[in-house]
Amino acid sequence: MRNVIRTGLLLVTLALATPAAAQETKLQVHGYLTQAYGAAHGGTFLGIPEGGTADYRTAALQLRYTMTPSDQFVWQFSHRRLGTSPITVGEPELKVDWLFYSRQMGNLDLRVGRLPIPAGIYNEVRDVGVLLPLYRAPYDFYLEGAFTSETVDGISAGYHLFADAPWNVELSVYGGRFDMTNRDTQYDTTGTPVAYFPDVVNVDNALGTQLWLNTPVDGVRAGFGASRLDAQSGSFEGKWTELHGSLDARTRWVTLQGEYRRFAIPDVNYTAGYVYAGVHTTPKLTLHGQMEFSDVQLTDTPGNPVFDFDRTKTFGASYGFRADLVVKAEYHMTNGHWSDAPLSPIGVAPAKVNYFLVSFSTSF
Amino acid sequence: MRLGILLLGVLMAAPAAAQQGGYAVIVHEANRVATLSAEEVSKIFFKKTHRWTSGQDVVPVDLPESAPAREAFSAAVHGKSVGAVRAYWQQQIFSGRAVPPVEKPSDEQVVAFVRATPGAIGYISAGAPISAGVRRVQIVR
Repeated sequence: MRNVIRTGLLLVTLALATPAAAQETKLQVHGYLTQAYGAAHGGTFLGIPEGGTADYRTAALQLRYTMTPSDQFVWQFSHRRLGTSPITVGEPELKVDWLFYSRQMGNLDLRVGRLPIPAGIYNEVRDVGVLLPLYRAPYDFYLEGAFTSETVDGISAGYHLFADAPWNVELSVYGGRFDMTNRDTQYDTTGTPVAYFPDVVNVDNALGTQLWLNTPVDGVRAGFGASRLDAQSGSFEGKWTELHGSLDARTRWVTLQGEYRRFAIPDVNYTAGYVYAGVHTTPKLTLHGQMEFSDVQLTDTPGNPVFDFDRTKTFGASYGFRADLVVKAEYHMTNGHWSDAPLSPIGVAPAKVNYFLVSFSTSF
Repeated sequence: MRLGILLLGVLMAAPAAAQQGGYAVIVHEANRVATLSAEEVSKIFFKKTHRWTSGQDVVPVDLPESAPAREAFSAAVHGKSVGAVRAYWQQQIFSGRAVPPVEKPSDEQVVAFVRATPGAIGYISAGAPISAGVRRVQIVR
């Protein structure tokens, strides 16, 4: 971490020392904050206990130095609290989220450093409350805090094909390495699960792609992505492959979204998806409904049994005072194996835990 | 009946006329572009077009969100409200892709910026004076 910060400081110093180009040279600062209060019934879910918690927030500060209109340097710090979640034990209060250099060459965008992974509708903005319909991106699909990464230390390239045509394609590819925090289960000597704990896994040879097909209808697009990686340790050590597909339609009155993904990881196939509908009853008030699912198939067990891993229904409402100030209230009804308590790994009865969140989000 | 159709026509035309009259697009005087389509201007201000046909970098400059000319420009050129344009830029900023154009607080400062920046393009209130060093560009549909 210290090395990353030191390197960042050096790069910022170098960037600031670069002679001003013919165009305006500018350092811009942006940020966002989402603060929530949540309480659960029937257990603890994603760090939200029955007694409630206000220790629930995401925040980030982004520094962007534009050397020329084509050359930029971006540095983003982030902070996250997930209540009592065991996944965030040991997580630093402040971490370097992104640290990359970006060069635009016509319709080609190249980036090098620690950069956001383009995957699905929300992976790059999964903590930005003003851009999310609900507090977080759909959990079964995006897996906040476990089994995924938002960033990669490496390189990415994005290209806009047929940019001037009504049907056009945005293609991104990336490669590199990252650390991934998995949720692992601790068992006692009798084989009874006693606790969850975070397991930080080194991931190498990560490669992925994301393709978006933009349609002539403004706000309507379809996406497809794939990735592979080598997990170097942990319960799921080995090669992982992943495929996902997305539909995203945002109109003045309604937003409809659906995504589906499938992981093939050692000993397990994990499939997940969701459908979301948002009705914009006024320009400021939106009503939300969402259904999520995930299934797990044990590929190392005779018969390859499939389990309903999670079924979650959500409804809520949000009010946007402005594009940069939004309040939300939402209620989630979960039934599955994602709860923090009661402990419910595969093989144990699924837990029904409901929870609500009220939150406000702002950005600048 | 004819009078009704005439009144209806006037009513339907009024908002468009008000939007067209609410802003004027300007470029540096050395820029040879005389006309641009609304779509071309929209792409420039969404930073989807990076260079003029001459090869020079395009540098768009905005007025503040509270400016009436910006509201008229957003509606006429982007076909979106100022709030929707802001939401677009939030998506761009927080996915690490791009930042919005430079913003200047007044018509005079937009004119001064365009005059000082050969690749610049801006817009000002329709009635604002245009001094030497900048040129008005006609927007065609």
